[in-house]
Amino acid sequence: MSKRKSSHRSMNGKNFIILPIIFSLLILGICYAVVMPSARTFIKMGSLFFSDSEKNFSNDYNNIFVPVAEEPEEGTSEVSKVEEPKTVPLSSIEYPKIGEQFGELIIEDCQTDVKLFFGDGYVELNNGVGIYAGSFIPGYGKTIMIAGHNCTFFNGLKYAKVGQKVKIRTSYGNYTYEITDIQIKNAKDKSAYDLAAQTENLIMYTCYPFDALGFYPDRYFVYGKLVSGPVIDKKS
Amino acid sequence: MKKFAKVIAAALLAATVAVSTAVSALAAGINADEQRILNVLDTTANLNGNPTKIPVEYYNQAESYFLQSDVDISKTEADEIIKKINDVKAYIESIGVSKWSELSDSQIQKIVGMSNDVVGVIDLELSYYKNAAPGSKVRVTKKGGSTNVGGDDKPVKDTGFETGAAAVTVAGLGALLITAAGVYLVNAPKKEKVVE
Repeated sequence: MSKRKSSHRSMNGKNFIILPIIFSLLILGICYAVVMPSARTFIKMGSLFFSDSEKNFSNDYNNIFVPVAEEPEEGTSEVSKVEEPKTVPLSSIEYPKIGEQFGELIIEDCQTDVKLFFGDGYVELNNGVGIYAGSFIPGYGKTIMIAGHNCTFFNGLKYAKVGQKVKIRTSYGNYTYEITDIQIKNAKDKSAYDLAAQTENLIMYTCYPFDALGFYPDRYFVYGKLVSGPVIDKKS
Repeated sequence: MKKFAKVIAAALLAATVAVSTAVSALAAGINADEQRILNVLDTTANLNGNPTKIPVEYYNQAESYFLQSDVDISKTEADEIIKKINDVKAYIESIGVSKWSELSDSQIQKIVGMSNDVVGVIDLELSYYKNAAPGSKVRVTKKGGSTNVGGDDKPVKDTGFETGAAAVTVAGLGALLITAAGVYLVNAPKKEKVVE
C-alpha cells in the first residue's frame, strides 16, 4: 500500500512540474515555428508594450474622396465623352492630410479595388493602401510610394505583370499607370525607390512571400509609369 | 467730389479684400516664404568636415505639409523659423560629431528642444521617444492634439502579418494549447502502478 502512495506522489510531481515544462516548451516551439521566421515579430510586439511612444488604436479616418467622371474608353459615343483636363491647378486641389482617404486604386487584372490614403500608418493600412508621407500624390510629378498589407488589400499584387494597367481615381482627376517592372528586394534596400526623383513614378509594395505569416525582410515592389491623367500645375 | 473720393476708397477697399481673399484661397500651393524654408532645409550642415543634408523624405514631408490648403506661412513666421533652423544647424556643427549616431543623449535632448522651438512657431510640436523602435522615435503633431503631421517613419513599412493580429494569434494559440493540455491531464484516466 505504501509503495502505491509513493508511486502516486511521483506521478503528481510529474504532472505538476515536468508536464507543464514540456507543454511550455512545446508551445514556445510551435509559436516559433508558426510566427517566428524572424525574431522581429516578438521585438515589435515587445515594443508595443515597452515603448514610450503614444499609441493610437482608433480606426476612424476622414474621407475627402469625391469621384470625378471617368473618361470613356475609345470607341464609345462621342456625345457622352468627357474630356479629361491636361492640367489641374494646385490651388483647386485639397491636398490630403496624413490619414485621409483621397482616392481609390484599381488593378483589374489583380482583382484589386481598394481605398487610397495619404499616409501609411496603422489606420490607413487597416482600411486600404497608403501613400508614404515622404512621397507625393498622383499628378505632382514625383515619386508615389504606396504600401499595403500582403494578406489583405495588396494580396492581389501577386498577379501583377508588366504591361498591366493601374488606375488611381482622385477628386481632382483619374490616372492610369502601366506596370513596368516587378522586383523582390530587402526592405532596407534604398535602391528600391528614389524619393528625390523629379519625374512621376509609381511604386507599390507589400511583404513577400505572400503566403508567409510573420514579418519578413523582403518586399514585393511593383513599379509603374504614368500613362494618362492631369498634371498638377504647381504655379496656379 | 467728396462723394466720388468715398466711392473710390470703397472700391479700393473692396478690391483689397477681394485680392486678400483670393490670396488665402490660393494657399494650397507653396508660397514664397514657405519656399524660403524649404531652401534652408535643403542646405548642408558641416559635421566635422562631412557635408550632411536632412534625408529627402523629411524634406518631402515638409513640402507636403506646406501644400495643405489650411497651411499658409507668413513672412514673419518664415523669418523666425529660418533663424531657428540656422541656430539648430550652428549647434550641430559646433558639437564636432561626424555622424548623427555619435550624438549623446543630452545633445539629442538639446536638439529636440531647439527643433520644438522651430515647429512651435507654426503651432506644431515635436515629440521624441527615446525607447521607441527606429521609425517611431520622432513625431510631429498639431499643438495640443494628436493630428499627425510627420515623423521619422521608415519609407518602407512592415506590410506582412499585422502586429496586432500576430500578438492575438500567438496569445490565442498559447491559450488553446494550455487549455487542451489541462483538459487532457484532468480527464486522463489515472493508472495506478501496482508494485508486486
